[in-house]
Formats: sequence, C-alpha cells, structure tokens
Amino acid sequence: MSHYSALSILRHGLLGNKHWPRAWRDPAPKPSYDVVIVGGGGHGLATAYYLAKEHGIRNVAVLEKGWLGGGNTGRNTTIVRSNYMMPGNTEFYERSVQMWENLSQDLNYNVMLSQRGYYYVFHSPGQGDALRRRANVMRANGIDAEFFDRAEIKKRLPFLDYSASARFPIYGAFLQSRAGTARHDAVAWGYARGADKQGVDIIQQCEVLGYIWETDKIVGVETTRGPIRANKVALAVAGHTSHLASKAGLRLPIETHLLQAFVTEPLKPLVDHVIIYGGAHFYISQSDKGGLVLGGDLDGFNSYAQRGGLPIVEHTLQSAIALMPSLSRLRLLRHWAGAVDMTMDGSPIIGKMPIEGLWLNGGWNYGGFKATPASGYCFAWTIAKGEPHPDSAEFTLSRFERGYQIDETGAGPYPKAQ
Amino acid sequence: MAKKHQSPVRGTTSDGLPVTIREVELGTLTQLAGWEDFDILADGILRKQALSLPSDCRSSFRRGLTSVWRIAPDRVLVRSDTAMNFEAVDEIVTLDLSHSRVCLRLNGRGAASLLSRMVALDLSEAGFPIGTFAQTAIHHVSVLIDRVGMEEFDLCIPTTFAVSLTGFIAEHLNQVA
Amino acid sequence: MLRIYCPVCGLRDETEFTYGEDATVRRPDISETDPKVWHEYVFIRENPRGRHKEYWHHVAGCRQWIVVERDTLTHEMFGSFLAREVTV
Repeated sequence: MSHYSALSILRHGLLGNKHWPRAWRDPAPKPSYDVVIVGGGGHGLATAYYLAKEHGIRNVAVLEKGWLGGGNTGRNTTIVRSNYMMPGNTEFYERSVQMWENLSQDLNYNVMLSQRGYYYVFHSPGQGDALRRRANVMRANGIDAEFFDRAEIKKRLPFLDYSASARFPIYGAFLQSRAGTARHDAVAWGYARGADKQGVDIIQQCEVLGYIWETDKIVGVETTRGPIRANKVALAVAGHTSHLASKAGLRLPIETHLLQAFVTEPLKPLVDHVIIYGGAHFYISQSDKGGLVLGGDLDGFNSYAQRGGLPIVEHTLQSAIALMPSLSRLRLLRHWAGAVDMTMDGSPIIGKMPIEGLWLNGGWNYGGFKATPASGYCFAWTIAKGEPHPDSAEFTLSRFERGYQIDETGAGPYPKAQ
Repeated sequence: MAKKHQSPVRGTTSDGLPVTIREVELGTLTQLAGWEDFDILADGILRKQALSLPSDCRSSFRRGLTSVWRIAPDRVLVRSDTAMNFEAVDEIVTLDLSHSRVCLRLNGRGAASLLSRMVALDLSEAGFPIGTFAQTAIHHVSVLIDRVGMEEFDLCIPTTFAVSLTGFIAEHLNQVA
Repeated sequence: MLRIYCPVCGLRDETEFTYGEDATVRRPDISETDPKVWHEYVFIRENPRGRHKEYWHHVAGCRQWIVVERDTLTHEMFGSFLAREVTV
C-alpha cells in the first residue's frame, strides 16, 4: 500500500503506471471477527475505518452483498451540507461537514470536496421566513448561513427565471457557502483503502442470509460465503434496513422508497453552486465532467426495485425548466434510482438494538451521503463504547415510542412525505 | 348553465390530423349518490324517468339526449337536455352539478391522437369503445371523457378549470384561423 | 411506471392514483389504552421486499380506495380489490 503523493504519482508514472499496489485486499472471510459490519457502502466502510483508527478495533469485517459502494453511495446526487434545524440534527450534520473538510488529508485519498456553496431559492415571504429561521438556528450553532434578496441573487445566479412569467417568482435565497459536493465513489474507496490498511477485511459478493443465534443473542451471520461469527453485528445497509432487521425479528418505523437521479449531457461550466428550487422538491449542481446532476421527489410508493417511472422524470424536468428555462435545450444522458430508508420522522436511527449483539445504522431517507463521515464516526463510537456519541444521541429507535421524533419537514408519520 | 368561454379552436395535431375543440351545451348534470342498497334505490329513481342504473362503470347508457354514467359503485351521473326531477328518497343524495361542469366536444380525425397526448389511456377502438366513458385527469384536473363516436369525444371538465384546460388542450394543436 | 388495475375503471396509469401505504395496518379501537399498541399502528411497518398489500386511492377516476397486492422488488401486480370488500 503506497502513500499517495505528488512524488508517488511521478514515480509510478515513470514506471508506466503498472506497479500501483491494490487499494484494498480481497481476503476470504475468516470464521470469526470482533465486529462484522453488514453493508460495504460509505457508512459501513467509514464505520470500519473509525473502529480501527479511533478505537483500535481492527478485527473487523465489512460484508457487502454486491460490489463496494454499489448501493446508495454510488447513486446519490453528491450534495454535502449542514443546514438542519432540529436539535439532534444540527450538530450531527455540522460535525459531518467539518470532517469532510479534512477528509482527503485524513484518508490520503482525494474525495474531491468542492465547497461551492448551496443556495436555497425561495418564492414567498412565508418561505423566506422559514428559511430565515433555519439560518438563525444555524448561526446560533456557529454554522455559516447567509440570506440574500432578489436583486443580489439575480447578480449571483443570473441564469434562473426572473421573468414576469416565472411560475414561482424568485424572492431571494439562503446560502451556506461551506456546503457543496464531493465525489461519491471516492468516499467509499477512500474509506475502504483506509480501513483495509488498518487490517479490516472487506469482503464483497457476500450476502447476509440470516443470523447465528445463541438463545436470544446474535453471535454471527449466515452468508452466501459461509457462516461468520462475531461479538457484534452492525447493520449499515440503508435502503434494506427493514429487510436485514426482519431476519432478526425486528420491525422498524421505516418504509423503503425509490429515489431517481439524473445527469445531462456535459456542458461548459454553467452552474457553479448547488441550487435548490423552493417551488418544488428539486436540486441541481454540475459535476466535474460537465453534466448537470438533477434530483427531485420520490416516486412515492414502497419499492426496492432501484428503478423509477416516467411520471417523476417528467415532474423533475418540469421543475428544472421552471427554475432554469435554458435547460430545456439539453439532453438527458443517464438516469438511475436507489432504494432509500424513509423513516417516520425523516431522521436516521443509529444505536444498539433491543436484540443482544445487534447494532443498527440506517433510516437515512434521501440525505445519507452528506452524513457519511459523521455516521461512520458516531456508529463506530457507539459500537466500541456501547453508548451513543453525543452528536448522534438523539437518533434512537425508541424516540418514536417516547414522542421525541426529529421531524425536520414537519410532515408527520408519513414516510413518503418526509 | 355556464356561458360559452371561447369560440371553436381548429387545428391539426403534429401528425397532421385535423381537430376542432368546441364548447357545447352541457345541459343539466345531476349526481345520485348513496350507501347501502344503492343499486335498488337508484334504479328505482331512474326508472321513474324511463332510465335505469347501468350495471358497469364503463358503458354510457343513452336515451335520446340523456346519458347515464355509473361513475362509482354507489354514484351515478345523469346528463340531459332537460331538467331531471328525481324524486327524493332517503339514503340517496341528489346533487345538481349543472354549473360545476363545462362540456368540450373534440371532433375530427385527430381527436383520439390529440387526447393521447394528455391522458394515459388506450384510445384505440378496442381499448376505448364507442359508447363508453372514462374518468381520468388532464393536467391533474379530473375529467369525464365520453366517446360518442370514433372521432368524437365529449369532455366534461370542471367549470373552474374550463378556460385554462381548454387553453392547455389547444396548445397541443397547430392552430388555424 | 406502474399500471394499476382498478376494479371499477380497469387498468390505469399510476398517475391517476394516490398511494395509501400499507393496507395490513389496523387502527386500534379508540378505547385502547396501551401506548405500545398505538405506537405499532402509527410507526411500525413490515416494509417487505416482496409482496405488499397496499392502499391506492383512484383520485382521478372513480375515487374509490382499493387494496392492491404488489411485489415491491419487481412491481409485479397480484390483484386489486375495492377496499370495502376486503378484510386484509
């Protein structure tokens, strides 16, 4: 395993780039580990990395049923931000952004964090008030937030629809300048390489079929590559959390929904920031390859299919054109979907489960990517110490029973409306 | 009766087929709705007007200029050129919807083609036979489409949306004067 | 796209319907005092990766509530019934 640096690039370049060592090993599973993490996406790999780095727990395996990062880590629209308003969320996502800011250095892997700013455009005085309140909560917590009127936004984002015929006239926008985008695959690969370097076994094409029990304690997993015992089994499979939990007889406040995302043909730099449309659920940014990355609403029904339908394609593109009319001339290049854990309050679940030996990190709704570093860090802490990290302490499973929902959207117990 | 909003729109679809969109007199529109025993009670009321309760929710039952549509298991719409004086019966609610709908007639070789751009229905003769109706939505607005001929459709649309929906439908045509 | 069979109107596009979620959930009697029962009802869901009995409301058509059985992985449909006619 070599350290990536300008010197190493030069050296390997001179050797014809034929001698780069593997970024991570491909070991056969051992019969047992201290911790088995189910799910080789960003969150699972980050958890393994921090278990090793922060807590010295290295006898760890990450089991991935498909290929590393092929789930939602590979399917999201790459947005990183910390503009959450509810206590329990605010500090957690800010921790995550602060970790993002040093992540490439920490991992010795370029995650391509681009803190290009996140504009949330609003279209009525009431919507502006709600955003202003959110901005004030952020600032009270030491998080950057700014507010601009229409005239200022027209200068900064001239390509939006400011005409008299705009469907939802633009009143102004909220900005978090430290927010932005990152390369989703790189995060998975960076954490994988970092975890592997510390001795974690990453085992792909290894699906968990069930659990190994000793009376009512989970002591391992049955997999397509044989049984693997573990003192602690930790699930990080958001999208399929209910599916894995049900194998342990655990039912959760989660519905799995499908979320589509889109990329246009590449074009020269046009959208220099992440822009959120306040007139509908729609977001847009530009990737380094030049394509515009678009996303919007859920299709709206339970699905594990990871493919969506044309009604949402139409709805998302209508929002795109309403926000930026010039987009109507572009062609859509690629389109895909993921399966997301929609919870009954739109907020995640991290913690020890009421089944001995089982830990869970899931319920990320459509906002898991930005949480990757903090999720891994807090989940590792929780597993290692047996108690939640202060920043993720509110993400309990029991909060629904106790009336402590973290309802950021204020939509109530309707997963499809979060 | 709603006033006529605009003069006929004439145009062709993008595949060159002519269509005319014209507002026609809706006449009277009456809804009968009920709960238990709807079948028996509604049929009884309708028979007194020489009509009867359709057995399915797709066929348009006609007698002269009167049409009867069973729009749900316990709901019926009656459109007529004359006032329907249905007798009052417990357990059946009669509602006069004459002002809440406007009737647009789509007529021409391109009528089905035009509709196919706006409704997710099979508009072939087999999929939508003449003499049947469908409740669906155009641009998120509930409409009732009555196929009176191979190339003729009556659309009952909410009065509130009559102007904008007519405009929306017309936008799909290359209009001629 | 989902094509949903409405027992009243026939096979229709998903855009004519509103999703009504899990149809196997049963509201407790209003006199129920055990908070665990209410918690189950409001928050806990089976969320199967497979056959799922769910409500759909045919808002653009006959406006009836129907219960549909659908596979959440493949979207294959296994039958639709008027909600009033089914004990799920």
